[in-house]
Amino acid sequence: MAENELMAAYKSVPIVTRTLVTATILFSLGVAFHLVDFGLIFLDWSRIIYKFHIHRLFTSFVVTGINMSFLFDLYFLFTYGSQLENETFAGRSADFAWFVIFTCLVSSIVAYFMGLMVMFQALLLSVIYLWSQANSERIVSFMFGVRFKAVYFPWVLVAYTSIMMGAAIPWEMLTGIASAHTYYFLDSVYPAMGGPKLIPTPTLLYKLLPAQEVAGAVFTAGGTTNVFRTAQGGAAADTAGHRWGSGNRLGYAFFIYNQKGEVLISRLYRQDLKRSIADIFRIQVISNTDVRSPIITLGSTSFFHVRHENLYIVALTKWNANAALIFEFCYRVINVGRSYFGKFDEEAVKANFVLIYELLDEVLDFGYPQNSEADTLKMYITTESVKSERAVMEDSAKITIQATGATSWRRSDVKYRKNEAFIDVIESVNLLLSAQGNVLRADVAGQIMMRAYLSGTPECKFGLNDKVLLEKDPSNRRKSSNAVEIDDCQFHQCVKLGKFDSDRTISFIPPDGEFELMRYRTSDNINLPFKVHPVVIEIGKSKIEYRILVKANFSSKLYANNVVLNIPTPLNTAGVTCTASSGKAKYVPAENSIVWKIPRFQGQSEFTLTGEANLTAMTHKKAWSRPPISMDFQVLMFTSSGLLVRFLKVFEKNNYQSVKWVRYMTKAGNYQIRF
Amino acid sequence: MSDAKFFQRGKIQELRLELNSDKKDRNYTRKKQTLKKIVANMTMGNDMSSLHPDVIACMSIPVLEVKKMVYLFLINYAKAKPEMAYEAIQTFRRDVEDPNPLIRALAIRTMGYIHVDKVTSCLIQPLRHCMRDQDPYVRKTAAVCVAKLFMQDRHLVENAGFIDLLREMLVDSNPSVVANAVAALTEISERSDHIQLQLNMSIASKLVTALNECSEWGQTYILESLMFVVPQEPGDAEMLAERIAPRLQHANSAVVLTAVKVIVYLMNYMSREEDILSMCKKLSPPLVTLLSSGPEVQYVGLRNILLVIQKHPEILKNDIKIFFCKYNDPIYVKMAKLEIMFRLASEHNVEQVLSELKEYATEVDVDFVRKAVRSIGRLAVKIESTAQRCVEALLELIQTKVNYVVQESIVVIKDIFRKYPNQYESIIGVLCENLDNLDEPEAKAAMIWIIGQYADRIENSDELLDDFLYTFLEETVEVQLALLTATVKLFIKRPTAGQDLVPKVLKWATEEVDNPDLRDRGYIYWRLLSTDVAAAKAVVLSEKPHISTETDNMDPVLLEELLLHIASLSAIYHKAPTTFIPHCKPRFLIPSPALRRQNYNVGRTLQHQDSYSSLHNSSSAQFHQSQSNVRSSQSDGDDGNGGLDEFVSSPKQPQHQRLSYHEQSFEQVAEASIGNQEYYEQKINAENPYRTDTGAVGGSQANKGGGVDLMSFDL
Repeated sequence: MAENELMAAYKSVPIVTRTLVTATILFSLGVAFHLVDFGLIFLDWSRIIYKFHIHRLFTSFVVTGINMSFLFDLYFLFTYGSQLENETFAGRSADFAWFVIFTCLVSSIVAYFMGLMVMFQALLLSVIYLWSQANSERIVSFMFGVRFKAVYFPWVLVAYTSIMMGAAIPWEMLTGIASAHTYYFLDSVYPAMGGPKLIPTPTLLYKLLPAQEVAGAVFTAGGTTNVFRTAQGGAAADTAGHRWGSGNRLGYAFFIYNQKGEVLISRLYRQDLKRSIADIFRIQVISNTDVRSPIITLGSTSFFHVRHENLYIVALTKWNANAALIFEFCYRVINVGRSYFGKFDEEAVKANFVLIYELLDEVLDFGYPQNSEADTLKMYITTESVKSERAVMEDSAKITIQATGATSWRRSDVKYRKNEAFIDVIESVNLLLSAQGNVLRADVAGQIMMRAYLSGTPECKFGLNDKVLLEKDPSNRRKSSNAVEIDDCQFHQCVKLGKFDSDRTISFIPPDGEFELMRYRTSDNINLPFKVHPVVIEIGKSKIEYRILVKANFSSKLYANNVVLNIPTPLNTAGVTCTASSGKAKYVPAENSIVWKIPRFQGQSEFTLTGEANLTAMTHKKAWSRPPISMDFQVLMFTSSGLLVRFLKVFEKNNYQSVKWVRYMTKAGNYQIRF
Repeated sequence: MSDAKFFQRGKIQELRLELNSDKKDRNYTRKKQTLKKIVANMTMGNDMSSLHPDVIACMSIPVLEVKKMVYLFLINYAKAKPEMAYEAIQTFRRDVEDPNPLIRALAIRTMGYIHVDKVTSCLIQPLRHCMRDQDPYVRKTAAVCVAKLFMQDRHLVENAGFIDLLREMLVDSNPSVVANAVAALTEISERSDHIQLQLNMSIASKLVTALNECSEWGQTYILESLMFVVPQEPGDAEMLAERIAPRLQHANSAVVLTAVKVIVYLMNYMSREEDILSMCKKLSPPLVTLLSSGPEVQYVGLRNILLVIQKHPEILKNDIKIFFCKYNDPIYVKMAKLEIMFRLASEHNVEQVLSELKEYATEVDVDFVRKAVRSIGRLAVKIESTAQRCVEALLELIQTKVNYVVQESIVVIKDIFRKYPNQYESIIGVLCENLDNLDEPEAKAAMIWIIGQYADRIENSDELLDDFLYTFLEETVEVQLALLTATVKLFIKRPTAGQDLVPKVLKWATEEVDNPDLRDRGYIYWRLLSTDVAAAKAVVLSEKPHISTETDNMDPVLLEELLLHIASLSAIYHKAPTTFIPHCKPRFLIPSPALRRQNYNVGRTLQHQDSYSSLHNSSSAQFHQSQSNVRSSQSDGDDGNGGLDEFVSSPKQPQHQRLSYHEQSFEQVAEASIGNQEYYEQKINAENPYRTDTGAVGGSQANKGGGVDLMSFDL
């Protein structure tokens, strides 16, 4: 039985590498134990030509002496061979086989002139050379932990061997490098310069070793320098015979990775994808320090990713998919996860991976997002399968109606003893103040959160001091003076949009529990809760003087909590001395800023901070970019926009009384002050 | 209880023993644990397929959780081990008859994922039943299953009447079923050779009604399908757009953007300007609101906004402040915003834009700073009244001495000199102070062009050029061309100063350099100068054609096509989907009596669609026509591409097939025009035998600083 496992491990090695390694072991051991006649396998051109010993062209590459370095060499061949075949050639074994055949031929020809006989080192070095070109930026450690870039690796190996052999030149190795370079040049460099592809892989090889991977993935490895354009993928794509159009299917696969690039969840929706496609994303994005787009396209394969906590949520598609849909879905996965597990991070995913698979199966059918309301999902996908099968059976008809129905977000059998509804109006103020004190941009992004604990199927109506609505009704004209002009708003899917469009009433059947009823945006008549007057003077090259004044601009009956100012300092700051008239201020070197915290800030009061930063001398020429001061705060019972909830009416057939609460809060969104 | 401990490599042997253990196992907890280990190992990429007999044996366990894990295992390994799928068929057969709709749906869903012929043939009968199941949940699952089946065996689906069943589902009483059926039909239509979705107004109106009741994703599917409605009368388009407009208020950006796409599409079929205007007014706020979503959605939104405002400039024209970059925006958002800012900049807001750009030019990210600097220069070219201030801003930036800022500034200042000749010579002195810092070819070429152009105003222009000439043979072709032309200009303007340099350069250019462009230009100058200096003067110092940023605009035909793909990948990359997605059906406006006049140019549209992929790579005639005269513009279209630079576009799309679903006449028009274009290309190539990959003499010089003079020669 154990050999079964061994076979499985053996089979998991890609085919060409597998063949090479096996052949090497067999032949080398065969020769060492005199089972095979060495005279029949070494490279001897005269016998190839006159006695037609064609096999020597192959066998001479897979035989080597049994000594200390034999194991090392085998290990190298195995590791780099499989990496090349799996990653660089992305599973297109035919191309890899062609590389091996090509380099062997070139090496043999060189060997004819040099009189070389045993060519294993040449083969090994070819593989290593190509690998090092493909992964040139990777760090390799060799012998006692000497570390250097992979691109030098073949040369280090040559030098090392040369020393071990007593300062002889290892011609076999150099031959291998030369032949691999020839391949690399003809296959990648020359076509990249605009030349034709001189050594296309013979189609015969494609037939013998069909590509098992993404057709046409252009694969860059280890940085930006080397692009291995192999076989254009045209052949493979044609045989697939599909037409990819545009549409809104999410795509072909869905993954969740942790920060190390380990796959935590993987779900493939197409049979012709192999799981190893997941490695491509790891190499391209996770191990890449400079990712400049949330979408990466290689060939016709696109990866969409969203980062959350220590996770990467990744969707893969091979057609012109709806990008907004994909990102929204990724966000939704995070939300559902949060609602199930409290938070959605590596720990939570690992602890509940089976449940997440179940959820995915439900939420994403063949790449089409389905009902993804956590509330409904919780009816039939449960954390501990506590429900007996019997109960599931009885409920199931209800569940299915629920999951597909017009109010898929609410169960019908909700009951509360006391019917209550809480409304939270949360406004985030965004401000961008120029160095001259002009308001470049001020707007409010508001969020109305509702917690509904209402029995039955209540129909709610909700009213705001919305200017458009109030001006419609002539009797309300006088009130409209303090009405708010809302630029745009967006509603939870429970709100009847048609109704809002026709007469601007907000009516809905709320989901049970907490949800975001609406989001709105306004940029008119914003009351900025804080004014900041920064004076920052650079004195020579070694000192900066700060004088920051903050004033609260709201009623003195109110107060703000957790006010924090981040005042940037240059990178070369050595130390800061500062005093604040209230709260605590200290220099945080890790953030390159002075952090000034004021736990409680009464309305209409004002505080100042004075400080001085000492700079170390720098040879660096570039001036300090002066990032803006950013601010954080929360003000209760205050809305920057002046928005008010006018009413919330609940209609239910049982006609119960309900209690409603409303709360306002304004917090800092992007509150930035340039200086 | 945490399952995290299962994430470690399991030995197949041990797992098998655990699964088969005879120990008492109440509630199957032990089996569940083992299966979890197996699923975890599958996730980590360890091959578990050899366990299949043991796992399949678990199928009989009446626990839903176990069943789901076994199904997952099946889906993963069925392809590799078809025989194990056979063993599962019995269970599937039982499950599709189960009284519990969730189980029925689960069985159907799982069978659809298993691409094994025997399973597929067992699926057909139950699938048909399920599509008429009394439970909507089963019906909606079955609808998606048809799409799965289609991927596997399209003929089966087309011949077994599934399409008709799907069509019936469009009028189902349950909105989710409708949405999924629509999604399946759309996908099949996009991929099939024979089936093309076309919705008439009555179906469309039913779908819009269902829109109000289905989930957010369902709304996206339905909206997407409305792209297949071809309004025959302007009234239809207006009515439909009016009914879709409330979707713009949805919290889900996918719904919003898809609604925007449909509305922009429908505008093509509207007749009254005021309707279009009122629709445009409705589009602005939701587009702005996209910017308060997560950064990824913002990015998608921004790239699409860039498209929409090119077609309908009235949208967002007063909202430029929204696009000012925040310091901590991700870089891709910043780059996209910058592009929109430039496009929205006008006489009214240029002051603010300029001060923002100056701010950005001091930031950290090199690419962003470069783009900001470049935008300042382009602003000067775009809006004449602001040129003076832009030049001042650029001078300030040059004073910072940050290497890449200086180089970038010089590159754009060249454009400004071109646009406003003889206005800003006073700053040449400042530029000359920075000669030693130039190491990028583009900046060098720009500087050399300036020196050549103002050779008579710069006192030591001959010395400066001589300095550059010192490394002539090591320079890139771009710089060499610039040097050659600048030296000739110097000679013509100040013969005494240039007489030593010219022979040297001409000799190098004609004898020591391999580049045919350079060599030919060298010969032309040589002969001109040696035969008729007056003619040389007329050619080299002739009036240059005007440049403007108009040429930054996207090719209108491409724009039209991209607008039909709003929210999709191709709209983000600003590339036609046919260029990077093999076998993709192109989209275009289908003519109807209501289609607006200006777009009714079928031949052109079709021609474009078939030639675009070739245009994309090669340097064809059209490409040069549409190429800008401002050097900067070329790169800007591509900047937000992300990984797209590595595209291998596969131009060999079978044109015939792609057109097969159109009427005959269009096809003829299209083919005729394709033929013409190829002929044109060949002809051009024949006339310009020295055309190389860097472009023809006549076509490329606009991009290459020094060569400007030759253009007039060519013309």
